[in-house]
Amino acid sequence: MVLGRGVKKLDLVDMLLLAALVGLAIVWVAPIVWVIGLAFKPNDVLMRTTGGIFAPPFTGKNFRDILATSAVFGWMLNSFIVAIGQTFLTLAISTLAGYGFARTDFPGKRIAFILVIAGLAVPEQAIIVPLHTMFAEAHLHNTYFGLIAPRLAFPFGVFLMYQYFKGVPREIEEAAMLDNASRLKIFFRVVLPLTVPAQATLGIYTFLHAWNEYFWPLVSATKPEMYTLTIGLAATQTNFAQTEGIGFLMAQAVFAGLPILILYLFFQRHIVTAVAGGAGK
Amino acid sequence: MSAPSQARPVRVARRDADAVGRRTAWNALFIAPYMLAFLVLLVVPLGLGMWLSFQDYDMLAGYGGPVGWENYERLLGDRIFLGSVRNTIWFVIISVPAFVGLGLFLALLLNDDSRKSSFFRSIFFGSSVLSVTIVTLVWRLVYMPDRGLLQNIAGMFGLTAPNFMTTEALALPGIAIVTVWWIIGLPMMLFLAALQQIPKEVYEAAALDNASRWRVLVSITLPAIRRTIVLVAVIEVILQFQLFGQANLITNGGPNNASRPIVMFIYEAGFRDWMLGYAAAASQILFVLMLGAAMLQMWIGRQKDGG
Amino acid sequence: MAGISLHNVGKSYGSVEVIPDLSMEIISGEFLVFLGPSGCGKSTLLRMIAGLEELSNGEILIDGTRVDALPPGQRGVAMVFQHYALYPHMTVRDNMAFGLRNIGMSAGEIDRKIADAARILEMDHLLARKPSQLSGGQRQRVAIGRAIVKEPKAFLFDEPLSNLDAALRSRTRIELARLHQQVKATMIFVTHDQVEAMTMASRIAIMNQGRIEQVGTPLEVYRRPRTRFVAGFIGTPAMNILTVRLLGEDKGGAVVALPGGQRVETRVPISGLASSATLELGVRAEHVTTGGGIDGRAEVVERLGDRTFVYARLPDGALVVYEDAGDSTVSVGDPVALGFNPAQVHLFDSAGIGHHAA
Ligand SMILES: Nc1ncnc2c1ncn2[C@@H]1O[C@H](COP(=O)(O)OP(=O)(O)O)[C@@H](O)[C@H]1O
Ligand SMILES: [Mg+2]
Repeated sequence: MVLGRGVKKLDLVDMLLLAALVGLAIVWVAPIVWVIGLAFKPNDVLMRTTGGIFAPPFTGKNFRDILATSAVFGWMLNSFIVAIGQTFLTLAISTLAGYGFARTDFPGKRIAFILVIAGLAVPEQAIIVPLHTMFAEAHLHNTYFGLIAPRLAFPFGVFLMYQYFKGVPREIEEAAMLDNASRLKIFFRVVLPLTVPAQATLGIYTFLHAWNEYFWPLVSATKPEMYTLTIGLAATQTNFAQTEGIGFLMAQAVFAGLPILILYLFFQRHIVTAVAGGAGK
Repeated sequence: MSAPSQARPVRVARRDADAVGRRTAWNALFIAPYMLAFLVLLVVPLGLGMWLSFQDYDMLAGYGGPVGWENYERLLGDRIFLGSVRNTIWFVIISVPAFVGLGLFLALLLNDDSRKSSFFRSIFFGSSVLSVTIVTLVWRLVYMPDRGLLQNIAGMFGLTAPNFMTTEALALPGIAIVTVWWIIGLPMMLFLAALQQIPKEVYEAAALDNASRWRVLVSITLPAIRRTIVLVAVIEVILQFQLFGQANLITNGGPNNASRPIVMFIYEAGFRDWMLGYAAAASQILFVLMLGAAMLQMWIGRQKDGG
Repeated sequence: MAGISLHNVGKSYGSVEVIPDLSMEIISGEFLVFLGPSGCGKSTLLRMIAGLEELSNGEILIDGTRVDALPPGQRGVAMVFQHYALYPHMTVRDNMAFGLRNIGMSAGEIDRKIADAARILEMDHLLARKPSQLSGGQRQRVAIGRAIVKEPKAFLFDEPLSNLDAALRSRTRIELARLHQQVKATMIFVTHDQVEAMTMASRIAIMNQGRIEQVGTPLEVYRRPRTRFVAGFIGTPAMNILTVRLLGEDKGGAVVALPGGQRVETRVPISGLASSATLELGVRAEHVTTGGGIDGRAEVVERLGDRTFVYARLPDGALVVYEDAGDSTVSVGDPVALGFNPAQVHLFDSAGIGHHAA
C-alpha cells in the first residue's frame, strides 16, 4: 500500500501512516465543516459562543439575508464574466501563437520566441504599478476589459500550446497539405480538433486563476459594483464580525465557495490534470 | 539517369503567393494578437517600471524628475521594507520545505488506484480551488482568539490555543499553515505525476531483491523523482515569494509588521501611498530576488545531478 | 499516369548537403522503388517530389510540367506516410473525403469514389470508424485508400510497411503489387528493405548518401550490380567480397589470386582492370561451389530447411559463405573445399565500379 508498491501486509508502520493520513484529512476538512455549520447558526448565538455547532438552534436566515441584501450575486456575475472572458481570449490567442511558433516560419520568429520565453520569468508584481498607471491613463479601471486584459500578456498559455503543437506529428499537417487544404483550413479543420486536451488544460487553469485572482482586481476594481467575488469578500472581511455577524459572513463564504467546489467535484479529473500538467510544463 | 532535356519546352506552373509550409511574413499573423498583448501589457510596463524606479514619481506630490538610484537607496534604509524582505525570505524558508515534504509524503501514501486514495486526493486537492478570500475567512475563524475552532478544541483539554494572529513570532508560521492547507494540492499532484512515471518493473525487481520499504524509498523512488523535487521546490519558491493575499487579509502585515511581505509593501507603497517610483523600485528588487532564488535552486539541483 | 523527371535535384539543410545532384526519369506507370540505407536521403527526395520540401537546386517535372514551385496539393500526387498520418478526429470516410471536398467535388461523386476504394481495399465495414479504433494494418489500408480516392498521377509511399508485423507486411506487399496492376498509376516507393524492393519494383533505384548508385530491374541490380555498394546491399546473405590481385588473362577472362595465393578464373573481360590499384572479387553464396581448390573450414552452419548456408574460414582469415543443399551434412569444424563459378564472379575496381562477365 504505502511507500513501496507491492508490499501488501498491513503492519504497524502501515497503521501509523494510515492514522497520519486520516489525521491530516481531518485537519483539511474540519475547518470547512465547521464554517458550514456556523453559516446555519443565528448570529446572536455566535456572539456568545461558537461551540456546539451541531446542536440546535439552526437557522437559514443568513442565507436568506444574502439573497435579500448582499451584493454577492453581482460580484459572482462579475467573476464569471471576467473568468470566462479571460479564459476564452487566452485560449484563442495562445492557440494561435503556439501554432505560429511551433509550426510556421516567418521573419523575426526566433527573436519573438526568445522574447516570449524570457517573459515567462516576469512576475505580475514586477509590472503591476506601471500597468495600473497605464490603465488609469486609458480610463480602463472599473471595466471588464480592464480586469480581463492584463493576464492575457503572460506567456504561460502560449508556451503550453507551443509544447503541445510540437508533439503533434507534422505528417498529419503534411497529409492535409497534399489534400489541398489551405493554411487556415489546416489550422481550423485538422490541427485545432487535435488540441482539445491541451485547450481543456489551459482553459481550466486560466479559469481557476482568473476566478481566484486577487492583486489586480484589488487595485483595478475599486467601485463595489465592479468587485469580483474575491475582492468583494475581501472588502467584507475588513469589517470582520462586527457589522454583519459571523454567521452571515460564513454563509457568504459558503455561498461564494459553492460554485467553484461544485465545478471541482464535476470536473475533478480534468482540473487535477490541468493544474498538475500546467504547472509541470 | 538522363540529363535534363533542354530541347523540350517546359511549362512552368506558377507558385501560389502563400504556399503552405513555407516561410512567409503572413505567418506572423498567427502570433500577432498575442504579441500585441505581450508588448503592450508586459514589455511596455516592464520597461516603464524600470524607468519609474529611477524617478521621483509620487501621485500625490507629482512628478519630481529622475533621481538615479535614490529610490533604491531609500529602500535599503527603509526599516519596513527591509523587514518585509526578511519576512518574505523567512516565509519562503518555512513554507517551501513544508510544501515539498508534505506534498511528497501525501503523494507517496496516495500513489495507487484505490478508491480510498482517490478520496483522500480529492480532499487534499479540493481546498486549492477556493479563492484566497474564502480561505482567509475560514482560517480567521479558526484562529479567532476567543471563539475560534482552535480555541474550541484547546478548550476541551482545558488549554489556551496559541494566538497566531496577534503573536509576532507566530504570525508568519500561522500564515504558512494556512497557505499549506490552501495549496498543498499542486505539489502533491506534481509528485504523483512523477511517481506514476516510475516503471513497475523497478519495484518488482527490488521486491525480488528483498529490499525493505525504506530502502526502496531511499534508493529507488526518491532518486527517480529527483528532478521533480527540484521542480516543485523552484515552483514553490516562486509562488511563496509572491505571498500577499493571506498576509493582507489575516494579519494585515501585523502585529508590528511581523508578517508584512514584499508584495504587500509594494501594494501599500504603490496603491495606498501612491509613491509610484518607490513601489516600482521595490518591484524590481522582488523580481531580482525571485530570479536569484530560482536560479540558485536550479543550480543546486544541477550540482546534485553531477554528484 | 504520369512520368516524373528529376533534373539535377539538390537539397541542403544549411551547410549539410543531403542530396548533392540527382537526375533520373521515372517512367509513366512504373513501380519505382528507391532503396537505400536509412539516412541516405530517400524521404527527402520523396518529400521534394510531393512538395513538402523545397529544392535547393534543380527542377522536378510531372508529365512535362514543372512543379517544383507548386504547393503540394496542386501537384496531383498522393502520399502514404510511414506513420499513416490519418486525421485522428475524423472517421475513415471523412479521412478519405477531406481532400476531395477541398477541391470542391460533389458529394455524390465523393461517395462513389469512397465506395470504389473501399471495395478495392475490402474495408467497407471500417468507414464509420475513427483511426483509433483500427489496427495497424487497417490504418495502413485507410492511408492507402485516402491516396486512391484522389486518383493521383503518382502515388508516393514512404516506408509504409515498416510499422507492420512480418506476416502483414508480406501480405500488404502482394496487395500493393495487385493495386498497381489495377490502378496502373505511377508509384514511387521508398524503403530500406531489399525484399520489398525486389518483390514489388518494376525498377529499383539504389541510393547511397544522396546519390543514385544504380537504376535497374530487380534482376539487373541483383545480377549486375553497378557498384560495390549495390553488390553488398542487395542479396541475403550479402555477396562475398574478397581482396584479390590481378594475375593475367585466360580465355578472355581475368585471372586473379586470393591473398592466400589460390588462383581464381573469371569471365570478366580484363580491359579496364589492369589500371586499377586494388581489386575486389565478389561472388554470391549460390555461386560458390564445393569441391574446388580453395580450402577452408566450416565455422557457422545455418540450416534453413530447403538450403543451408555454410560460413567457411579461409586460411588467410577471410570468411566465405556458400549455399549447400538442405540436407547438407557439413558440421562446424569440417574442412571444406570451395570453388567460384567463373561466369558469376564480379570484380570491383578501386573506384568501386563493378565488372561482370560479358
Ligand atoms: N530538417 C532537416 N534538417 C537537417 N537535416 C535533415 C533534415 N531532414 C533530414 N535531414 C538529414 O538528411 C538526411 C536524409 O534524411 P532522410 O531523407 O530522412 O533519410 P531516409 O529517409 O533515407 O532515411 C539524414 O542524414 C538526415 O539527418
Ligand atoms: Mg525516411
